[in-house]
Amino acid sequence: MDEAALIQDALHGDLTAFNRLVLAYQDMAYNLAYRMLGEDASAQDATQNAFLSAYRNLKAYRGGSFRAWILRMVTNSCYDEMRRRQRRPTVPLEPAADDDEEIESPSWLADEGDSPEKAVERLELERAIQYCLSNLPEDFRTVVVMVDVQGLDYTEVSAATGKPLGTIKSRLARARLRLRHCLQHFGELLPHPFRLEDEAAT
Amino acid sequence: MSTQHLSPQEWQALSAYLDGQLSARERRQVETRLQARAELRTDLEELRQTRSVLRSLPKRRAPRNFTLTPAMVASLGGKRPQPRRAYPFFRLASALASFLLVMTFLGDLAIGATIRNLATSRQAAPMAADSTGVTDFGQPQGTALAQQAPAAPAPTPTPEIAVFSESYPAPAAGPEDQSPTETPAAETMLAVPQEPVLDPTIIARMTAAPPGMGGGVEDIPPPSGMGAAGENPTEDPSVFMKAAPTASPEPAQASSPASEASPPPPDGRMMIPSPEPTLLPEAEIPPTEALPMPELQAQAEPNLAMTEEEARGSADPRSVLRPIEWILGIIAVLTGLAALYLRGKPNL
Repeated sequence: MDEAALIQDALHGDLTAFNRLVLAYQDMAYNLAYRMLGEDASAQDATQNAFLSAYRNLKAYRGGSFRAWILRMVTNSCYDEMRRRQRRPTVPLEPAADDDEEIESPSWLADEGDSPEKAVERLELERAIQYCLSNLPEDFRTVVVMVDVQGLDYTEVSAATGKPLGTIKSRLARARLRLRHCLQHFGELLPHPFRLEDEAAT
Repeated sequence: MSTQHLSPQEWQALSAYLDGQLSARERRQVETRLQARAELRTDLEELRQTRSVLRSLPKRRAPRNFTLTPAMVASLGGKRPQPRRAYPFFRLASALASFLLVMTFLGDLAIGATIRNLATSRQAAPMAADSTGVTDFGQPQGTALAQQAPAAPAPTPTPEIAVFSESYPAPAAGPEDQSPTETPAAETMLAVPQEPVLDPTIIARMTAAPPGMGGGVEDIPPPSGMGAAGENPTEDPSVFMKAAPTASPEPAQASSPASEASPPPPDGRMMIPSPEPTLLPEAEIPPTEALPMPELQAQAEPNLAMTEEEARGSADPRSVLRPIEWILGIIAVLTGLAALYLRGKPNL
């Protein structure tokens, strides 16, 4: 995929070219939105709005990492969504069974390869992490999600957020510190083998 | 919670060290500290665990495609940017126009008040001179009147009203003149520092003015209870113009009716309910009554002419302000409506 050519075509009004860029980045964009917002419907809205905004403001793109630029659109869209939520707070919906009973741990969210116990464990861990992420200030959350969840380097995060590197380092360190304190409340979900395996991999 | 011994800078360095984002020199510094301090190594290990837990989060795939359709593009193309730029403009314009309108209106009011103040001060000036001249007559009169007021049989609720009722209706109260040493009418006016102080001068001018000038005042219908005032009109002008040098012999006569006002109950009762007791008795006086005093007339006329000139001259800025107020009002409303219209458009 020639990204630069697609961007040029999109700038000249070629919607198909722009949609190819959308397809290339939509997983990353949705994942960031989901981790920022912690909820599927809002994350979809934010992602869609981010791509609409990207198309409308494509002329403002001045080169550099297009991925970082798209992430910036997603971040801004997430901030808008958060403000909308603050104005109209809603109760998050749990998936419901046929008899309208809320499902505590919806099985359809789990990876199919895991055993039931492991799937529940993984799901609980994910929930715990998401809970801790949601309790972070927005700016901290953005940085830690981009670096630790999305795997971006500091420079890209700096470009995506428009903040200097020093700010990124500082926010990341403080976000990690807070997350560590928060995750200690879910110690039973963080088994030792899990840690050791991960550390060995890194 | 072993991080409490770490400064934010140390924690930040440790975090960046974990990500390999330190320069060679900074990295060596951190490694030296790590070797020296065991708790730092523990912190680094916990930080590493936290990061690995975050990295363990599954990557969410997009549940659907977020590609744009031509309809979506059309819904935002072209229309959106314009209102977004126009809305703040109209909002600001409306606010500015409203602010200017208020300021202009206040200015208009202020000018009006200034004109009125100028006019009244010019009218009050001779009155002040008159009253100071009269106060030499006797200082205790004011207090004497204040004492008389509650004693008056008239059903007056407050002493102030009592003073009014006693002082101005005095000519109407009765021609029977008993005590020339008692309070002159002007003294009673001094005792009351409110508007009635102005009235005698106005009345003086009205009475002193030629018949043509006083025509408007004559139109005021006298109250029913004031019939008695018209019966002895010759004394009235003297009451209010006694301070004039030429009218010097009259104060003695004029003062007596004022002081008489309190004893006669029927007239006092009649006067109190009337809202403007000062003007009405004088309005009945035909202008010709003032003619016997040509000096007063000569004094009064220039003053009147001046105030009229002022009024005419000062009316100009106000007449200019009025259209401006209208224009600003229309602009404020139109721009406000435009801003409301643009704001009502759906967002993105």
